[in-house]
Amino acid sequence: MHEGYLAQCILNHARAALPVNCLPSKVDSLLVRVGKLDAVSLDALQFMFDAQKNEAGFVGARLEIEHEDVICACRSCGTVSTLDQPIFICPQCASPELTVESGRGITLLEMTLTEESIVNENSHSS
Amino acid sequence: MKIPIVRNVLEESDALARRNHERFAEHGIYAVNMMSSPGAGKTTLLIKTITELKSRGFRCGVIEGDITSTIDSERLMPLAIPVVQANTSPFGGDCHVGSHLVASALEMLPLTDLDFLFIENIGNLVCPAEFYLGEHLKVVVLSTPEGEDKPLKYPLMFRECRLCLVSKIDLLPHLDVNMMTLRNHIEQVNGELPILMVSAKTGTGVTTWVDWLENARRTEPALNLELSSDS
Repeated sequence: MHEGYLAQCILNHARAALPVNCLPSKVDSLLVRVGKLDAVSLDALQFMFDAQKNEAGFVGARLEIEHEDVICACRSCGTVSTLDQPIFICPQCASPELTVESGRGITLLEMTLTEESIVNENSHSS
Repeated sequence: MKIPIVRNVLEESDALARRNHERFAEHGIYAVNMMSSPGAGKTTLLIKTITELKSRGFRCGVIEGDITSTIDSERLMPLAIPVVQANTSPFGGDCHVGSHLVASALEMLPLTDLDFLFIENIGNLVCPAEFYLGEHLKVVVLSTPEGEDKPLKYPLMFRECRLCLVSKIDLLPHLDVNMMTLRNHIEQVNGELPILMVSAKTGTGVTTWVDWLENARRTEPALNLELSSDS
């Protein structure tokens, strides 16, 4: 539902991270990590990214999404567990006192540029 | 060539939310983000809540988040409190209240004259859970007619909130809802989430909820009120 906003944020951050003299059209891919606990539809995010990238200049960019597992640490017994469903109960001691260590948050991790990505001032005229 | 970035995609939104939080602290305002499905009874409960808080001498304001219409803010008018209607679009827009909407609304509120600020979020159990607005307290209102399964279907909401209000409990005799099952589902998702039962229609549980709110404000570290003479 707010995937359009997220795609816009990803493109804005990517633009800010471009090296000097590098055009957004030279970006081959962007790698984003999305926590499984986040209310994000990956298909919708992909769709919204593709729908917005041309206007933002990232014509050839692909969005790669890493879906991050929900990992919790139990504050009672210290057990660290990976959840495969949203049942937040320690598998070791059945305590509900779990701290979410990962699987929450949306992070732009990496940008991959094409081979001929660094252009000089003269080629900017295009 | 790979370029590492590692940036929170919601960085700007979070930064604005932290600024909202600072403004609340500057004025001793306890901010509550009320979230629920559409029709869970947030507005009716707010009317009862604010009426009780006013009777205890507290000054309240509301940011009324809706994708469209001024229906809810008009319902709050008899309370004679500052209300800002934050519509995302005349014909329907965002699925949640964002920190930028709260920041804009704060410009229209008399911050020096408020003790509590309620942000009535857009009815939606998905997206509002994702966004920090600068509030001190996130509350999920779950009405009994919605059934027992909502905590399992919307886990992020029940993980993010610090209080669950089960509303419309006056309807329980007419519903096939098992409260034990509902509690069990909430506990499976967040066993540390306090649950209060309320009915805005009969007033049941409203005093307990307002006691809870009053204590939460008094003990909120960001407001540092316990050492002051303020209420």
